Amino acid sequence: MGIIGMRPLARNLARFRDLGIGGIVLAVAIAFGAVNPVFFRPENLFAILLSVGIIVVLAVGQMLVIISRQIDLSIGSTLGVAAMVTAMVGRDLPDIPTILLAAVSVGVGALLGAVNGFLVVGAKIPPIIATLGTLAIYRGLVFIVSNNTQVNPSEIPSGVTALARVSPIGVPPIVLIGVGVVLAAWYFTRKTMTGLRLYAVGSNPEAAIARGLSPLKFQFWVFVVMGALAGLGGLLYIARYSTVNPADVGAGFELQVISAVVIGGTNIFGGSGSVAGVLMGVFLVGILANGLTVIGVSGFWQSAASGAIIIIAVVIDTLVRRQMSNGKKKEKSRPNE
Amino acid sequence: MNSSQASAWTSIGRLLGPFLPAVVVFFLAMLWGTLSSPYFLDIPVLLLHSGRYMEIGLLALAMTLVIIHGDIDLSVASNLAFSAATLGLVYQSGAPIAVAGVVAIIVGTVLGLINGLLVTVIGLPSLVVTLGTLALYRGLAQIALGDQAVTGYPEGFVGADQNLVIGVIPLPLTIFIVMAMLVGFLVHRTSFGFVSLMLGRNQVATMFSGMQPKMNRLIAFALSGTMAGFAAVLITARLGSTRSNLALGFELLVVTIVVLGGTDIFGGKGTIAGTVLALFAVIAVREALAIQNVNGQIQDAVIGLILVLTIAVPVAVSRLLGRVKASRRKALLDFEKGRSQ
Amino acid sequence: MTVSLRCEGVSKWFGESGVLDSVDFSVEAGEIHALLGENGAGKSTLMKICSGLYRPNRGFVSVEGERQSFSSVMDAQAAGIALIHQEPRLFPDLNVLENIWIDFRGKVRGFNLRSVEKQTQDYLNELGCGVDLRARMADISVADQQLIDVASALRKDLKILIVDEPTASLTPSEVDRLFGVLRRLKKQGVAIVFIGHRLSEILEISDTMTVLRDGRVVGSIRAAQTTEDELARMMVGRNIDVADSEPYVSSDSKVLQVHNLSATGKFKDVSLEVGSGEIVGVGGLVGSGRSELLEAIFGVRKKYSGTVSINGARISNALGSIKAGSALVPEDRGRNGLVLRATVLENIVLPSLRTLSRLGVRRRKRELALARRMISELGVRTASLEMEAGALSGGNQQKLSLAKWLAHDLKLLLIDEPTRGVDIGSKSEIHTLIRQLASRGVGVLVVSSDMRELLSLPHRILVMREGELVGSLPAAGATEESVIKLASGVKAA
Repeated sequence: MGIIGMRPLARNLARFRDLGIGGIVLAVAIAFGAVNPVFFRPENLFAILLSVGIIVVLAVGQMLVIISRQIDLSIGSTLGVAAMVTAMVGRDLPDIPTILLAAVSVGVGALLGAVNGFLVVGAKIPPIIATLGTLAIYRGLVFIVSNNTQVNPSEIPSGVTALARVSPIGVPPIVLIGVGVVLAAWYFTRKTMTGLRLYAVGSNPEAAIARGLSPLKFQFWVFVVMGALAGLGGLLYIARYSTVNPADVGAGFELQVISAVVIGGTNIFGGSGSVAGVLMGVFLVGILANGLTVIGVSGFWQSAASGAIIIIAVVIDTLVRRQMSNGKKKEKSRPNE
Repeated sequence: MNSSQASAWTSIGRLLGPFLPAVVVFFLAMLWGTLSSPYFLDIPVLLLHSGRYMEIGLLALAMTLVIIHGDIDLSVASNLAFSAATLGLVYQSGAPIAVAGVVAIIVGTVLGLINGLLVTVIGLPSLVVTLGTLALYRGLAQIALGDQAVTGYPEGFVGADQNLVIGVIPLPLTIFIVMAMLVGFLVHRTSFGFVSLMLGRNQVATMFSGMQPKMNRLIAFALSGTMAGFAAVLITARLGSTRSNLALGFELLVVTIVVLGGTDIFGGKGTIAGTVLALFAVIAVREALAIQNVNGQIQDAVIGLILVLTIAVPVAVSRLLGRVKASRRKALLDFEKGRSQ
Repeated sequence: MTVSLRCEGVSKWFGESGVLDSVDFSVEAGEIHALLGENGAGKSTLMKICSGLYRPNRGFVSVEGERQSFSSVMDAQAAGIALIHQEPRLFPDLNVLENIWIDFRGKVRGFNLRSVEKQTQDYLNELGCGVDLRARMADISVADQQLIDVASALRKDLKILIVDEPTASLTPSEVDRLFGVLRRLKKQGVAIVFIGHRLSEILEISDTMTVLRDGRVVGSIRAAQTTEDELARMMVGRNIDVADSEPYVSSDSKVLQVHNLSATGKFKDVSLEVGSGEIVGVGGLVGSGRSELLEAIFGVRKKYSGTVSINGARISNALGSIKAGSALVPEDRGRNGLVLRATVLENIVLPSLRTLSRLGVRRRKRELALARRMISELGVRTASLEMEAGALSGGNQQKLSLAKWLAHDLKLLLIDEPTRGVDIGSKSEIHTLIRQLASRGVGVLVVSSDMRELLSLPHRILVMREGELVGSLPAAGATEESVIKLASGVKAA
C-alpha cells in the first residue's frame, strides 16, 4: 500500500482482510464476554487498552522494519534496557519531569537501534543473526546496568505512573500515546514520500538503486526508529507494570508483536503492510491474551496461541497471494504472436 | 605467486580458515578461565561438566545440516521441551522409560517434519515458520505440563549422565561423539549430504542436474526434530525432572555454535567438525564464565556477542585489507556484479 | 544538428574475452538511431557503458560534446541519459502513480501525489496508456509496465533515451503505441538509441542505423537508403570457412520426439524430431523461446501441453529425462549450468551421484576416476580438481558444463549456446566433442545465436520466431541470410 492506495480489487481485498480481522476481534471479544462477563468490566477493558497501547507502539516499528525486508528480534531486550535505565534515572532523580524521562527512554532505544542498524548495514550481518545476537547482548546489558537490582513501584516517579491512570480527559495517556504513534505512522506511510520510498526499497531493492534511492540508508534508519519506539515502549512499560525487574523486563514481547504484524497483513517478504491492519492485529493479540486469562485458561496457552496464529496467518496469506498472482499470470501472459 | 602456489595457499586457507574463529575463541576462553581461577584447569571436572552441553551439541549437529541448505530452525529448543514433556507424561502414565524415550524421539521427529512440510510444501520462509513453531511447541509444552514437573524417573536412568565410558569419558560426551560421527558421515560422505551442500550453494543449478530440493530439505528438518527428541531424553536423564521451561534460550547457543564453527549462514558451506570444535569453544567460554560466577543473563550476552563478532570481524578485516568481499545481499550483489564485470 | 551522444574509440573486455573494439558511434538530438547486430555483437555492452553501468577499458563517452566519466548509473542519469531494458526498474507493490513519481527530485516534504495525479493521467493517456493510476504495478500488463518505465524516465531532463529490445514481448498494436511515444520524444529533441532485432520494425522507426559485428562497427546507413536484405547481410558478414559436419545419414531411430509442445507465454505448438546421431540446430532471435523450449524438453520447465518422448518413452520431468539418457547444458552456465562455488570435481560428479555411490555413500575413488577421465577427455584446463569452478576461464567452464553429463549413457544432448563467451581454441574443441558424440549415436539439439556455428555444426537447422517454429532447413545450402530472414520475419525477396 502506498500514498494513494491500490487498484479496486487489491484494495478491496485488503479492506476485506482488515474488516475480517476486525470481525474476528469482535467475535472473539463477544465469545470471551459470553463465557465470563468480567471481560466486559471497565477495569478489564481498561487493562486491554493499556496493553494494546504498549504493543501497538512496538508493532508499528516492527512493521516498518519488515516492510524494508528485514526483521528485529531484539525489541523486547531493547525495551528492557530503555525501561531499566529510565526507571533508574527516575528513582535517582525523583523530581525529573516526565518528558525528560521520555527523552531518556526514547534516546536509549534509538541508540540500541542504531547499533542494530550498524551491524546490519555496516558489518553486513543478516538481520536475523544480528538481532538474535543483540537480543542476548541487550538482555545482559539490562543486568549490568541495573546491577541485578530491580526498581520497585515506590521508586517510580508519580509522573510516570500517572501515564497509566485515567487522566482528566478520561483516557489514560498510554492510550493517547499509542494513538499518537499510530496516527504518526499512518501519516508517514500514507502521506509522505519518505514513507513511500521505504515501501519501494522493500519491494525491489535493485530498482531502488537504479532510481537513485539508497536502500542502505533506509535499512539503517528503520532500525533506529524501531529502537526509539521500543524505548518509548519501555517508558510505557514502567507506567503499566511499575516493577522493573532485570530478569524479565520486556521478555516475550517479540512474539506478540510479530504475531500482530503478521496478522495485520504485512508481507514478510517486504514491500507492503498497513498501519490499520497492524492495529487490528494488535487488538486481536491483546484481546486474546487478556481474554484467555479472564475465562480461566491458564497463561500457558499464550505461547501456543501466538505461535499458531503466526503460522496460520502466514500460510493463509501466502496461499492467497499465490492464488492472486497465478490469476494475474494467466491474464498477463500469452504466447508471443 | 604462481598459480600452483596460489592454489596451494587457497587450499590451505580454505581448509583451516573456517576453523580459526572456533579455535581462537576456545583458546582465549581457556586462557581466561585459567587466569581467573586456579580451579579451572581441572580436566576431569571440565569433561564432566561438558556433559551438560551435549544436548545443545546434538541440536547443533542437526542445525548445521539445516543451515547448509540455506534454511534455519529456530524451534529446536521448543521442540526439545515438548518432546521432553511427552516423555514425562508417557512415563507417568505407566509406560517403561525406554518406551517413553522412543516416543519422545518420534514426537521430536514429527515436530521437525511439520516444520519441513510448511517450508517445502507450502513454501514459507523457514525463519517465520520456525519462529511460529518456536512459540507453538513451547506453548504446547506449557499446556501439557502447566506448572508441574514430572519427576520420579527410574534410578538407573537419572544420573546416567554421570556414567563414565572406559572410566574416563562421560556418557553424554560419548553419545555426542557417536552422533557427531554419524551426522558427519551423512553430511560429508553420502550423496544426500553432497546434494545438501550443492543446494545451499546454487539451488537452481542443482535442480538442473536433476535433483529435487524438497526431499533434502524436508529430511534436514526432520533430522533436526529427531535430535531434539534425543536431546530431550538426555536432558531428562541429567536433570531427573521435566518442566515446561526446559532448554529456554537454547536457540541462541545452537545458532552461535553453528556459525562459529564456520558454517555459512547463507548455506552451501559447513562442516560437522567445525560445529564440534565450536561446541567445545562455547563450553570453554561458559565454563570460564561459570567459574567466575557470572550471571546467566550475562553469559547469554557474551554468547550473543560471539555470534555477532564471528560474522562482523571477518567483514571488518577484509574491508581493512581493501578487498570488500561482495556481500551476499542479493540485491546489491547483482548490481555490483554488473558494475564490476 | 547537435550530437547528443558520442562514443569515441570505446573498447571493452571482460578478462580474456574482448567484447567491443574501438567503437565510434554518435547520435544526434531528435534522431532515432538503431543499433543492430547479432546476439553477442556488443550492442548491449555498448549501451551499458553509455548508461553508466560499465566503464570502458578504452575510449570516451561524450554528452553534447562534453566528455563524461560515469562511475554509476546515477551519474549517467544526471547527465540526461536513461536506459530502458528488459528488467524494468519498477516496484511491484506500489501503484502506477507512485512508481512514476518515486524519485521526484524536488521538495519532498509536503509533496502531494494527488496534485500531480491529473497531469500524469493526461500524459499517460496521450502516450496511449490508459492504465488506472491506482493499479498495483504487479497487476499491470508487461507492455504497460514498459511504457510506465519509459514515462518515469521522461520526467527528468532527458537528453538521451536508450531502449534495449523494447518490442520483444509486445503485440503489434502495443508496438505502434510505443513507436508513437518515441516519435513524440524525437520531436522534443531527445536522442534515441533503439536496440532491436526485427528488421522491418527497425526500418519503420529509425532514421539511421549502425551495425555492429563481433564488437566492431561495420557501418552506418540512413534508413531511407537501405533494405532489410542489405541489413541482414551487414549483420552477418561474409562466410568464414568453417568445417562442416559430416553429412548425416538419416536413421529410423528417433532419439527425441516432441509433439505440440507449448509453454504459456514462451512458445506454442512446437513439434520436432531428432534422430540418433543427428545434430539439429535451433536458430532465432532473442526472445523467440529457444532456451525455454530446451528447458521444457528436458523437464525443468513446466509444460503447458504437448508431449516429449526420448527413445519412445514419454518423459515428464528432469529426473525421468536424465534416466532416459538426456542432458541439458543451459545457456547461463554461471547460474544454471554449474555451481560456481563448488569445485570442478563436485560439479562433474553431481548429475551422476546415483551411479557413483553405493547405497547412498559416496565412493571417492570412483568419483576421482570419473572426474579425471572427463577432464582429460574434454581437455578442461584446470590446475587441480579442487579448484573452484568459478575460477576457470569461460571456455573451460563450458567444457565442465559438458563434462558433467558425459559420464552418463548419453542418448540426447540439449545444449544452449555451446560456445558463448568461449575462446576460439576451446570453441573448436567443443565442436569436435559434439561431433564425436553424434558419431556415437547421440542425438544433439543445439540452440545457437552464433551464425557460423549454426551453419557449420548441425546437420539441420530449425528456426524459431516469437515462440513458433517457422522453418526447417537442411544445413547444406543454408545461408545466413535465409536464417536471419526466417528469424526476423522478413518476407522473401
